[in-house]
Amino acid sequence: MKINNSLLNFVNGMLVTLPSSKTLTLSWNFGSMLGMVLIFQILTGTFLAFYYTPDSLMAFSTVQYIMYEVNFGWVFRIFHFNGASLFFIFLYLHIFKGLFFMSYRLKKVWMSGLTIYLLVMMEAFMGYVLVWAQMSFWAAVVITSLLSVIPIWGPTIVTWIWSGFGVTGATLKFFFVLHFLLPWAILVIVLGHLIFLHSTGSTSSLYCHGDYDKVCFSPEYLGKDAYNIVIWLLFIVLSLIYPFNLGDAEMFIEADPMMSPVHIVPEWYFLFAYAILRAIPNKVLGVIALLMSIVTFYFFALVNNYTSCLTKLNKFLVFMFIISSTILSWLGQCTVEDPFTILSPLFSFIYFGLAYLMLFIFMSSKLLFK
Amino acid sequence: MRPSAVAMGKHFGNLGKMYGEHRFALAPNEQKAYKGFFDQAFVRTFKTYVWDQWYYYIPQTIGAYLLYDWAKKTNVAANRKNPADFANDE
Repeated sequence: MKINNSLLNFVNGMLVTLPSSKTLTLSWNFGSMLGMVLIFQILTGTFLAFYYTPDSLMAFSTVQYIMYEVNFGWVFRIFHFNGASLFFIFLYLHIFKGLFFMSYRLKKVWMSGLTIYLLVMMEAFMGYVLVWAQMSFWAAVVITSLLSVIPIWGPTIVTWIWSGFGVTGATLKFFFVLHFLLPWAILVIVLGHLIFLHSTGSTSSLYCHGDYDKVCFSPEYLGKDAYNIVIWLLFIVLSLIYPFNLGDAEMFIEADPMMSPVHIVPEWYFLFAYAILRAIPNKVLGVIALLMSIVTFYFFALVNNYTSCLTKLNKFLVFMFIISSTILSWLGQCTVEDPFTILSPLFSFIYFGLAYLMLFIFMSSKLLFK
Repeated sequence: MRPSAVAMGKHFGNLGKMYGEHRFALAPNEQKAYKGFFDQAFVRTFKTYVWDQWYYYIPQTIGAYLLYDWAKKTNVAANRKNPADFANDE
């Protein structure tokens, strides 16, 4: 069939006739699941925004109002809250899958993916603050204060973000506007991410010499995205049965600037970065390490190596990386006591060591086959 | 002939060469909907991801758990008095 429309041809070539490897498993569903969750979060968030007021004296009350008085408000809030965790679960699965299959060989996809990751982290953080509970407020104080380490402009930036001289209602308004607008920007970048990916097609474990030994993306893999419904059903069931299991008890106490919680911890998806931040006594170096825990992976896109892959060694290192990240996440929610104060820097070192080892091997393996 | 080659713009005479590919089909009356289900869903999955690859993650996971357990116990011990110091108190 021939379509005489350049836009339709463009879309057709990416979604219908894209030559795809025969070996794509359910691991490749993570990306489409993330797209679905993003749309889901935007929709539930938009409805929640109808009833939410970003005023320091009313924010917490409007959240309770949504939970208790708005028809089905509690459902939207629970889904939005747990949807964030669902997004990060699949985000991490997606990233690890990318590491397993060395998807950083697709440079533009990798770069845009990491950018999306950073933006989603910002988004999740700002959403966390909007509840205006104890943990929200003090997390905002801690995280925004980190920006003060920026030379020369740091204090000015912090004051600008606070819109005052402390975390106040003005900060809340600032975060609410950004929290609402940022997903649309993320949506655009996700679209770019998708276009970059479907320009080349996915990496896979099977090497194909040409497109004639592949299958069309549709209906094989487009239809396979329907498997995501299993995860959605699981998500709905678990959200309704355990609505706040992934949250913190301090999220049910209204923000009190006069009293900080005994123990401040971020959401589970930030714990590894939090552990790295705390592992280093110096504030500046801690913030740098925090940033580098993500920025390190940008360097993978700077290496020109497409075909020389030491897949088994890489698999071993990625598994080690996953395990060390998991331990770091656990350490991030532990108190600052013996022996956690020893393990945190140790595993931070292991985390960066493994990341740079993977990078080094990726750079070097090309020379092995020269 | 697979329709994907045609859908991708190839034409007769230029559909490419394929080697080593085998095809088979079943008549509708020969099909069993659940044939191989348990094998592929459970047995083969277990073989692929556990039996053939356990050395990539199971020893490391066990090591991580032992470290986690040790750390928790050490932390608990560090937060309480040493009973031995008070063994002679009465």
